[in-house]
Amino acid sequence: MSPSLKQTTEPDKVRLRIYRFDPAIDRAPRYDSYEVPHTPRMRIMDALDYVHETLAVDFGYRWLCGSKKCGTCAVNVNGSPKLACWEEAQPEMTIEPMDNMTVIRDLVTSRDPYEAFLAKLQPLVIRKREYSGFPEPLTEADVASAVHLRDCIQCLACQSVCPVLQQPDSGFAGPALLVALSELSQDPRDEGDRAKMAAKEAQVFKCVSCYECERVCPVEIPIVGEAIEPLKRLAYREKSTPGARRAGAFLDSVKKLGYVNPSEVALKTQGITWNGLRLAFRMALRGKIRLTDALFKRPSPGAETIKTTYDAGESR
Amino acid sequence: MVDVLETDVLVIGGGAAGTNAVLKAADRGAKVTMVVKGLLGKSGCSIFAAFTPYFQKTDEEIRRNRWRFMIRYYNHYLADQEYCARMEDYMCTEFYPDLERLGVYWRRDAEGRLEMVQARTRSLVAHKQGATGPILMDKRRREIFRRGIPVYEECAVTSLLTNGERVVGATVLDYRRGRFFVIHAKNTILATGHSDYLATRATGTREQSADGIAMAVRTGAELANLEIQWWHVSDVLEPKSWMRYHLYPNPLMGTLETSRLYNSQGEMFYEQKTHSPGAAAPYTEQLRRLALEVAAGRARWDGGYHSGYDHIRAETINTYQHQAKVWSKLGLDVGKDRIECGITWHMRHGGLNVNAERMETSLPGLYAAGGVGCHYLGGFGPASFDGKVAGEAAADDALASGRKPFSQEAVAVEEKRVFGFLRAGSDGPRPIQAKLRIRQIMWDLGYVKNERNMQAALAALQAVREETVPRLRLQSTTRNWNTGWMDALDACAMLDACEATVRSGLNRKESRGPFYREDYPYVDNENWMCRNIVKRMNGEWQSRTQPIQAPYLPPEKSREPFFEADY
Amino acid sequence: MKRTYAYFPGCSAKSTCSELDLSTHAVAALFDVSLIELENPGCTGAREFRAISEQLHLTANGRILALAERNGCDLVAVCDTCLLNLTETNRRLKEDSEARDAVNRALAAEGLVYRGAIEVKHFLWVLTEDLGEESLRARVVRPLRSLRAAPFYGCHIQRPKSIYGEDGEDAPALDRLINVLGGEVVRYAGASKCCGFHVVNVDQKIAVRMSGSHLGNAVAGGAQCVVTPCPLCHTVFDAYQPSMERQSRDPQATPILHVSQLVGLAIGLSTEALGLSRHVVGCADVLAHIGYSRDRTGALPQLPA
Ligand SMILES: Cc1cc2nc3c(=O)[nH]c(=O)nc-3n(C[C@H](O)[C@H](O)[C@H](O)COP(=O)(O)OP(=O)(O)OC[C@H]3O[C@@H](n4cnc5c(N)ncnc54)[C@H](O)[C@@H]3O)c2cc1C
Ligand code: SF4
Ligand code: SF4
Ligand code: FES
Repeated sequence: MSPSLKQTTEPDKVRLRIYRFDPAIDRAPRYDSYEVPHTPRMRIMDALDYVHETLAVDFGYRWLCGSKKCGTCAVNVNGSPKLACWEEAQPEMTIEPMDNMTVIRDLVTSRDPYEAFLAKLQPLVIRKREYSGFPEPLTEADVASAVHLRDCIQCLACQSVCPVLQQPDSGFAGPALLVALSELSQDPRDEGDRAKMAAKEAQVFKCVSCYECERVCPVEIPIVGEAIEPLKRLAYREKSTPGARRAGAFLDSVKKLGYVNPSEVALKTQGITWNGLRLAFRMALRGKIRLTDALFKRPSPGAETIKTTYDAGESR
Repeated sequence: MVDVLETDVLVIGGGAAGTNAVLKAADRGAKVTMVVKGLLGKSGCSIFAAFTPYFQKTDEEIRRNRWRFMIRYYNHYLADQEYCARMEDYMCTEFYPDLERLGVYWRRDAEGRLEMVQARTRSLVAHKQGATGPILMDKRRREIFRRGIPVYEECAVTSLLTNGERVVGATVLDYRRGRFFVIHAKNTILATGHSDYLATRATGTREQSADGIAMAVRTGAELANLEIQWWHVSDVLEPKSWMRYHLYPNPLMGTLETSRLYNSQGEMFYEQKTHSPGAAAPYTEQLRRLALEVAAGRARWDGGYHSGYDHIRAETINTYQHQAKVWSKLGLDVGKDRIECGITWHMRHGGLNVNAERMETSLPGLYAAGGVGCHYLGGFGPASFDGKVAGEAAADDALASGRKPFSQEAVAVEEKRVFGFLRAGSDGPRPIQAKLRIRQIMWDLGYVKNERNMQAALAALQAVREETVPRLRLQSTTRNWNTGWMDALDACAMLDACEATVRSGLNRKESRGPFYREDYPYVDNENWMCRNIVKRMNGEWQSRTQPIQAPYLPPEKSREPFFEADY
Repeated sequence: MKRTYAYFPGCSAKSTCSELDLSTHAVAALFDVSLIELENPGCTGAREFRAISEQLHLTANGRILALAERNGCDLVAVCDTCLLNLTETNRRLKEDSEARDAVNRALAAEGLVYRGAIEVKHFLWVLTEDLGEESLRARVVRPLRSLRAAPFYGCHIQRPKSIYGEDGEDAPALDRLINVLGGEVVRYAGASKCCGFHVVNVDQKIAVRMSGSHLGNAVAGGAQCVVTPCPLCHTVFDAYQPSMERQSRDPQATPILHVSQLVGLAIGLSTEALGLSRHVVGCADVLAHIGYSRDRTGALPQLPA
């Protein structure tokens, strides 16, 4: 019947440069290089195991399942996070711990900040009504919108590349936590105030929609479209946060003028701030805006029609 | 001075059994502490659970099939049948509500009916077949954290402490930081599982070095039926790290078909519905069939045969099976291509000799729950039940009794043993080499056993113990995540567990289930439907047997040729 | 051959980045590309409409697509975020008949219909793909003299992979363009990262830190300017550059050019035609490097200090 091995172009060797750093001993990281034979269909983890087992090197790396279930084996390979047990070994690999995480030793990083933040989000179904007993009334359609979110294995690859999380004290939850929160918020059984959590605790509006998280997700969750944006729509109800005010001001502006007036949106989101004024002067100086823009701009001739159509669309 | 933490109940292991033990003990009001060698809810074999059995008492026929499966096919008449009755109750009333309350979604159809595997016995999946374990464990983990129960993750229990009569806690090594401490407990629950990485190919994962079995051996606890060791047959051969990917020969969601096995000539030699329709987990039968193919030169234990779902509609596989992704990742087509397989050392039927009513072991103060016990093979649901029984019994007892002192001397001895491995140098073998050697010995022993090859394995293990272990040298003496240090401790545990397993095998003079002795090629229910018990006291191995009652479902034949039996 | 496209400038190019609109028209004209600007198109909603209501998002973008379809030609955008909104909506409405019907019901009052008859592309791709490298090269009259330009792609022209595919990430269109024009591509860590625009009103310091570090890397890599196909990235890098400098205490003064401006310079357009004086960070050094003063009027154009 069918052949089991399709790969005919596999290389015969794999060269690895492994990041070595023991915070207790080393002043700076170093890289150790190894060459290992390529085995059929080799994964990154097979190469690491070879170094550990056959070459008997005692470097630190973590894995707990070898089958894309535990989510503990992600490492940076040539600069991008990969699930070691899942992705193919490359002929040349520089292997480092994931970015933006505290190194315990070599490739092993701490998951503690993630766990601590997760706990703040009350990550189990919050029930106000008595649980009605198994099986509770629920259909596949009721939970269909979160079907991909349930695949998350908490590998934290997305957290490691999120540019907002990389900023100190961003206060932002990050994509993996938003996936968890979003799944709960889309669960018809959940009665927690997820809107408030998304807005205040998780600060979902700090997401810049860069899609870096989706790029690296090994289980291919459409994180922005299916986890984050549904949460933003929930958090939009919490009008007191800047993100929700911005979205509202943006829409108001387009409905009023037929186009968006950035100065007005900025003013309504932030109020009058020193930074805002400085920026406005700077831009006005080069004719990018007029200082009066924030308060007055002329509607485009089609503004009325645009508003009518948007209202019709939104109300559906 | 070593730090000492006090607790009522210490739970060792964070799989299905350990997590439920912690929750149920806490429900009783006991102070509970948990130690997990891996990460809570992300380690052990519980995350591998593809689906969970759905027990129903409403349909007599299905219930009869379930019982027949449990007793005959799954446990080869070695289960505690009274336990099965209680576990059945639990599965019917508590297991699913407990998890659903936390938010697990068991797959429904568009009308809201539970979707289930429609075989002689029924099973449910959370989300998809193959994804169930991680989802269930994730909810338990969140619940344990929510309750603020202290959990020591990436910490390995290295020994059990006694006061001479009773187990009163354990020593722990936090291998992230190299901190050694004592947990002083009124009662201790061992829940370290039964899927260990003891052979070159195994479903057990990296940290699973049978520590629980080894500690029990060293503490003088009784162990039963360790030789009843399952092997998976349809597990991916390449890549090596995917040896835990399983092409389910057991009933699938959405179809009445299962994976099939093909020998090197492309001839189908096994499928569940034809060859063992009563067995929802037909591994022992698969093994026997494969053994015939191997003997005939049409397959090897490590390859030369294939498995696949190519006779099933690809859409069905994609809809319900998590591992459909294995094919796509390899650039294969699940509707057409087959994957080469090898056997893997799988779950151990046996374990600590327990009284399954309360999960007490032969040592007072020590309970065993889940795969590490000997009363039932395991499974996510049964392990959870064990956790509940052990958790409640240990908690109630702890709340009613005082704390017994532990021996400071024993702690000092253990500390010396553990830190004794922190020797760097290049004048001796690395610990990982000892581990690899032990796995090779057990792999070579393999499925087909006899007095001679078991004696040879025993001698080989002894050589590792005497010649390799004393000379082990590490690359570094760091206490931060020192892989070599962990490997050294693992190797010692593996030696004790493997030795106990082989000795136990030598004692059993028959073949049964996945245990095949060429020199005793028949099932002997008259003499060997029993717990085959070993223990080590002051360096001496002792053995005895303890009969197993069959009040509900006795075996049909008292003796039959092994290759004619279907269980 | 004359090429015709429907053109959606987007709100930035009509306000804070009017030089983008200006330079796009100027460059298009020289290549015999006719851009039919949509009338009262409204807005794609940036990331805001989709954070309010999915239907609103689909309606607003479906409306723009429907307007463009009336011209019977593909739609060109000059903003990464508009491009993604329009491309995603177009894909969704083509595939999902329910969503399409809903949008069409909302559009009916205006007599508009979305049919799914056109494609959406970025003006950058019109240059590099539709016109092609050869016709670009043929037009270059003022080669960039190895001007060290750092490409900054912006997120929404390359991600998500569900829209752009796996290799969207390293789509080298802009790199190739810089080379064709005689410039030198600066390799640095930030080229395909995020500028932070979409958090700028919510938490300015995050955006400034993000883009500040990319700019720092580009400058460290020897960049004399940054080129971007997105006006939102442009706004962060240009208008917020003084804030970055304040934060890093490291004056950068790196001019930020729109793609159409870089092309315009190489094909001989004047600074006025390209609106080069409308940037917060002046472009004098770039002009000096490519010898702008000599080949046109013999003197550097008067740019504000
Ligand atoms: C491949 C595979 C497929 C399976 N499929 C199914 C299925 O479809 N359905 C089903 O119901 N069952 C299935 N099972 C069986 C089921 O998963 C197990 O029987 C059950 O989960 C065992 O749970 P446990 O808690 O006893 O052990 P485990 O889940 O193995 O947990 C052991 C725990 O002990 C910890 N530990 C080990 N050593 C130490 C130490 N020294 N100190 C501290 N902690 C330690 C580990 O880190 C781990 O957390 C499958 C098993 C495997 C291996
Ligand atoms: S899309 Fe949002 S969550 Fe994802 S990486 Fe970008 S900022 Fe982070
Ligand atoms: S969303 Fe994807 S990348 Fe992020 S933690 Fe989950 S599985 Fe990993
Ligand atoms: S080892 Fe568990 S996901 Fe890779």
